[in-house]
Amino acid sequence: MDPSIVLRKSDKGINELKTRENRLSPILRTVLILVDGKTDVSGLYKKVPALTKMEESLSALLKEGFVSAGSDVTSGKTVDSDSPATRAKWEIVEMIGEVLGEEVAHRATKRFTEIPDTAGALKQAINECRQFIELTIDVSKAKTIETKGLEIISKIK
Amino acid sequence: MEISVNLVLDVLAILLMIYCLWLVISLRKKVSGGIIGSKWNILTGLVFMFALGYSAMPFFGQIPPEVLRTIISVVFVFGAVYVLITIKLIMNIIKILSQ
Repeated sequence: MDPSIVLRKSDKGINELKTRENRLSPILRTVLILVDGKTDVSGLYKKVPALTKMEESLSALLKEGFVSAGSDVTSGKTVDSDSPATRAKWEIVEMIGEVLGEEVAHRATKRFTEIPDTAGALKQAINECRQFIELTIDVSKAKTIETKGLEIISKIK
Repeated sequence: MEISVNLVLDVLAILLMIYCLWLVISLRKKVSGGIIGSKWNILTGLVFMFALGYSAMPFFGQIPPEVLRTIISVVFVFGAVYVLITIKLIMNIIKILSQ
Protein backbone atom coordinates (compact mmCIF):
# COMPACT_ATOMS: atom_id res chain seq x y z
CA MET A 1 0.00 0.00 0.00
CA ASP A 2 1.22 3.45 -0.91
CA PRO A 3 2.36 5.07 2.36
CA SER A 4 1.29 8.52 1.14
CA ILE A 5 -2.36 7.55 0.74
CA VAL A 6 -4.78 9.28 3.07
CA LEU A 7 -7.74 7.16 4.06
CA ARG A 8 -10.99 8.18 5.63
CA LYS A 9 -13.83 6.33 7.26
CA SER A 10 -16.65 5.50 4.87
CA ASP A 11 -20.29 5.75 5.93
CA LYS A 12 -20.12 2.01 6.52
CA GLY A 13 -17.08 2.49 8.76
CA ILE A 14 -18.73 5.27 10.76
CA ASN A 15 -21.84 3.15 11.14
CA GLU A 16 -19.74 0.18 12.26
CA LEU A 17 -18.17 2.24 15.04
CA LYS A 18 -21.62 3.22 16.22
CA THR A 19 -23.35 -0.13 15.96
CA ARG A 20 -20.65 -2.87 15.99
CA GLU A 21 -22.92 -4.55 13.47
CA ASN A 22 -20.12 -6.43 11.69
CA ARG A 23 -18.30 -7.39 14.89
CA LEU A 24 -14.85 -6.35 13.66
CA SER A 25 -11.88 -7.83 15.50
CA PRO A 26 -10.30 -5.54 18.11
CA ILE A 27 -7.31 -4.86 15.81
CA LEU A 28 -9.48 -3.91 12.84
CA ARG A 29 -11.65 -1.74 15.05
CA THR A 30 -8.60 0.03 16.49
CA VAL A 31 -7.22 0.69 13.01
CA LEU A 32 -10.63 1.93 11.87
CA ILE A 33 -10.66 4.39 14.77
CA LEU A 34 -7.17 5.59 13.88
CA VAL A 35 -8.16 6.36 10.29
CA ASP A 36 -9.05 10.03 10.51
CA GLY A 37 -9.04 11.37 6.96
CA LYS A 38 -5.95 13.45 7.72
CA THR A 39 -3.11 11.09 8.52
CA ASP A 40 -1.54 9.20 5.65
CA VAL A 41 -0.73 5.50 5.88
CA SER A 42 2.86 6.10 6.97
CA GLY A 43 1.54 8.38 9.72
CA LEU A 44 -0.80 5.65 10.89
CA TYR A 45 2.18 3.26 11.20
CA LYS A 46 3.92 5.82 13.39
CA LYS A 47 0.87 6.27 15.61
CA VAL A 48 0.96 2.66 16.72
CA PRO A 49 4.40 1.21 15.92
CA ALA A 50 3.60 -1.90 17.91
CA LEU A 51 0.72 -2.76 15.62
CA THR A 52 2.43 -5.12 13.19
CA LYS A 53 -0.67 -5.88 11.15
CA MET A 54 -1.41 -2.29 10.16
CA GLU A 55 -1.08 -2.79 6.40
CA GLU A 56 -3.00 -6.04 6.47
CA SER A 57 -5.71 -4.40 8.57
CA LEU A 58 -5.97 -1.33 6.34
CA SER A 59 -6.23 -3.55 3.27
CA ALA A 60 -8.99 -5.57 4.92
CA LEU A 61 -10.87 -2.42 5.90
CA LEU A 62 -10.50 -1.03 2.37
CA LYS A 63 -11.63 -4.29 0.83
CA GLU A 64 -14.69 -4.46 3.05
CA GLY A 65 -15.54 -0.81 2.45
CA PHE A 66 -15.05 0.46 6.00
CA VAL A 67 -12.49 2.99 4.80
CA SER A 68 -12.07 4.66 1.46
CA ALA A 69 -9.68 6.90 -0.38
CA GLY A 70 -11.02 10.21 -1.64
CA SER A 71 -10.66 11.29 -5.28
CA ASP A 72 -7.93 13.78 -4.36
CA VAL A 73 -6.03 11.34 -2.18
CA THR A 74 -2.96 11.30 -4.36
CA SER A 75 -2.46 15.00 -3.77
CA GLY A 76 -2.43 14.37 -0.09
CA LYS A 77 -5.59 16.38 0.47
CA THR A 78 -8.41 14.98 2.48
CA VAL A 79 -12.03 14.70 1.54
CA ASP A 80 -13.26 14.47 5.07
CA SER A 81 -11.63 14.45 8.44
CA ASP A 82 -12.59 13.59 11.98
CA SER A 83 -12.50 16.37 14.50
CA PRO A 84 -10.51 15.78 17.72
CA ALA A 85 -13.82 15.39 19.57
CA THR A 86 -15.01 12.78 17.08
CA ARG A 87 -11.77 10.84 17.49
CA ALA A 88 -12.08 11.14 21.26
CA LYS A 89 -15.62 9.79 21.02
CA TRP A 90 -14.51 6.66 19.17
CA GLU A 91 -11.58 6.22 21.52
CA ILE A 92 -14.00 6.31 24.46
CA VAL A 93 -16.35 3.81 22.80
CA GLU A 94 -13.35 1.55 22.15
CA MET A 95 -12.10 1.91 25.71
CA ILE A 96 -15.53 0.99 27.10
CA GLY A 97 -15.49 -2.10 24.88
CA GLU A 98 -12.12 -3.10 26.30
CA VAL A 99 -13.18 -2.59 29.91
CA LEU A 100 -16.61 -4.20 29.74
CA GLY A 101 -16.17 -6.69 26.91
CA GLU A 102 -17.90 -6.47 23.54
CA GLU A 103 -21.07 -8.27 24.62
CA VAL A 104 -21.97 -5.84 27.38
CA ALA A 105 -20.38 -2.68 25.96
CA HIS A 106 -23.02 -1.96 23.32
CA ARG A 107 -25.57 -1.44 26.11
CA ALA A 108 -23.40 1.26 27.63
CA THR A 109 -22.22 2.99 24.46
CA LYS A 110 -25.56 3.57 22.71
CA ARG A 111 -25.67 7.10 24.11
CA PHE A 112 -22.44 8.04 22.34
CA THR A 113 -24.03 7.51 18.93
CA GLU A 114 -26.68 10.13 19.64
CA ILE A 115 -24.60 13.03 20.96
CA PRO A 116 -22.90 15.88 19.10
CA ASP A 117 -19.12 15.72 18.86
CA THR A 118 -18.21 18.26 21.51
CA ALA A 119 -16.19 17.97 24.72
CA GLY A 120 -19.20 19.05 26.80
CA ALA A 121 -21.50 16.46 25.26
CA LEU A 122 -18.83 13.78 25.71
CA LYS A 123 -18.43 14.65 29.39
CA GLN A 124 -22.18 14.46 29.85
CA ALA A 125 -22.31 11.10 28.04
CA ILE A 126 -19.43 9.74 30.13
CA ASN A 127 -21.29 10.71 33.28
CA GLU A 128 -24.49 9.02 32.08
CA CYS A 129 -22.52 5.99 31.00
CA ARG A 130 -20.83 5.78 34.42
CA GLN A 131 -24.21 5.98 36.14
CA PHE A 132 -25.67 3.25 33.96
CA ILE A 133 -22.68 0.94 34.47
CA GLU A 134 -22.55 1.61 38.22
CA LEU A 135 -26.22 0.76 38.58
CA THR A 136 -26.51 -2.26 36.31
CA ILE A 137 -23.10 -3.72 35.43
CA ASP A 138 -20.15 -3.14 37.77
CA VAL A 139 -19.33 -0.42 40.27
CA SER A 140 -15.52 -0.52 39.95
CA LYS A 141 -15.58 -0.74 36.14
CA ALA A 142 -17.86 2.31 36.13
CA LYS A 143 -15.22 4.33 37.97
CA THR A 144 -12.44 3.07 35.67
CA ILE A 145 -14.43 4.07 32.60
CA GLU A 146 -15.17 7.51 34.00
CA THR A 147 -11.50 8.15 34.83
CA LYS A 148 -10.21 6.93 31.46
CA GLY A 149 -13.00 8.72 29.58
CA LEU A 150 -12.28 12.06 31.21
CA GLU A 151 -8.59 11.52 30.47
CA ILE A 152 -9.38 11.05 26.77
CA ILE A 153 -11.64 14.12 26.75
CA SER A 154 -8.98 16.25 28.43
CA LYS A 155 -6.71 15.63 25.43
CA ILE A 156 -9.12 17.39 23.07
CA LYS A 157 -7.59 20.70 22.06
CA MET B 1 -67.30 -23.82 44.69
CA GLU B 2 -68.66 -20.69 46.31
CA ILE B 3 -67.31 -17.48 44.77
CA SER B 4 -66.79 -14.89 47.47
CA VAL B 5 -65.15 -11.49 47.51
CA ASN B 6 -62.24 -13.05 49.40
CA LEU B 7 -61.72 -15.69 46.73
CA VAL B 8 -61.73 -13.09 43.96
CA LEU B 9 -59.19 -10.98 45.86
CA ASP B 10 -57.03 -14.06 46.52
CA VAL B 11 -57.01 -15.01 42.83
CA LEU B 12 -56.23 -11.42 41.86
CA ALA B 13 -53.34 -11.30 44.36
CA ILE B 14 -51.93 -14.61 43.08
CA LEU B 15 -52.12 -13.46 39.45
CA LEU B 16 -50.44 -10.16 40.30
CA MET B 17 -47.66 -11.92 42.20
CA ILE B 18 -47.07 -14.35 39.31
CA TYR B 19 -46.79 -11.33 37.00
CA CYS B 20 -44.29 -9.75 39.46
CA LEU B 21 -42.29 -12.98 39.43
CA TRP B 22 -42.18 -12.94 35.64
CA LEU B 23 -41.10 -9.27 35.67
CA VAL B 24 -38.36 -9.74 38.25
CA ILE B 25 -36.93 -12.77 36.43
CA SER B 26 -37.00 -11.14 32.98
CA LEU B 27 -35.33 -7.99 34.32
CA ARG B 28 -32.46 -10.01 35.82
CA LYS B 29 -30.83 -10.37 32.40
CA LYS B 30 -30.65 -6.59 32.06
CA VAL B 31 -29.13 -6.00 35.48
CA SER B 32 -26.27 -8.44 35.61
CA GLY B 33 -24.37 -6.54 38.30
CA GLY B 34 -23.78 -3.12 39.76
CA ILE B 35 -25.76 -1.65 42.60
CA ILE B 36 -29.14 -2.84 41.29
CA GLY B 37 -27.82 -6.23 40.19
CA SER B 38 -26.36 -6.96 43.63
CA LYS B 39 -29.82 -6.55 45.24
CA TRP B 40 -31.80 -8.09 42.42
CA ASN B 41 -31.11 -11.70 43.43
CA ILE B 42 -32.47 -11.02 46.92
CA LEU B 43 -35.55 -9.32 45.50
CA THR B 44 -36.06 -12.22 43.08
CA GLY B 45 -35.85 -14.70 45.97
CA LEU B 46 -38.36 -12.71 48.01
CA VAL B 47 -40.81 -12.38 45.13
CA PHE B 48 -40.48 -16.13 44.50
CA MET B 49 -41.24 -16.78 48.16
CA PHE B 50 -44.23 -14.43 48.12
CA ALA B 51 -45.54 -16.08 44.93
CA LEU B 52 -45.36 -19.48 46.67
CA GLY B 53 -47.06 -18.10 49.78
CA TYR B 54 -49.79 -16.39 47.79
CA SER B 55 -50.42 -19.55 45.78
CA ALA B 56 -51.07 -21.39 49.05
CA MET B 57 -53.72 -18.84 50.09
CA PRO B 58 -56.73 -20.91 48.90
CA PHE B 59 -55.61 -23.67 51.29
CA PHE B 60 -55.18 -21.46 54.35
CA GLY B 61 -58.57 -22.64 55.67
CA GLN B 62 -57.16 -26.14 56.13
CA ILE B 63 -54.12 -24.97 58.10
CA PRO B 64 -54.25 -24.97 61.93
CA PRO B 65 -54.65 -21.38 63.28
CA GLU B 66 -51.29 -21.44 65.12
CA VAL B 67 -49.37 -22.44 62.00
CA LEU B 68 -51.30 -19.87 59.97
CA ARG B 69 -50.35 -17.10 62.40
CA THR B 70 -46.69 -18.10 62.12
CA ILE B 71 -46.89 -18.08 58.32
CA ILE B 72 -48.48 -14.62 58.34
CA SER B 73 -45.80 -13.32 60.73
CA VAL B 74 -43.05 -14.70 58.48
CA VAL B 75 -44.69 -13.07 55.44
CA PHE B 76 -44.86 -9.76 57.35
CA VAL B 77 -41.16 -9.92 58.24
CA PHE B 78 -40.05 -10.72 54.70
CA GLY B 79 -42.47 -8.10 53.38
CA ALA B 80 -40.74 -5.53 55.57
CA VAL B 81 -37.33 -6.76 54.35
CA TYR B 82 -38.52 -6.38 50.76
CA VAL B 83 -39.71 -2.83 51.38
CA LEU B 84 -36.46 -1.96 53.18
CA ILE B 85 -34.29 -3.26 50.30
CA THR B 86 -36.44 -1.46 47.73
CA ILE B 87 -36.28 1.87 49.59
CA LYS B 88 -32.50 1.61 50.09
CA LEU B 89 -32.09 0.73 46.43
CA ILE B 90 -34.11 3.76 45.37
CA MET B 91 -32.03 5.92 47.73
CA ASN B 92 -28.81 4.64 46.12
CA ILE B 93 -30.15 5.17 42.62
CA ILE B 94 -31.12 8.76 43.45
CA LYS B 95 -27.66 9.31 44.99
CA ILE B 96 -25.88 8.05 41.87
CA LEU B 97 -28.13 9.93 39.46
CA SER B 98 -27.59 13.16 41.34
CA GLN B 99 -23.79 12.93 41.10
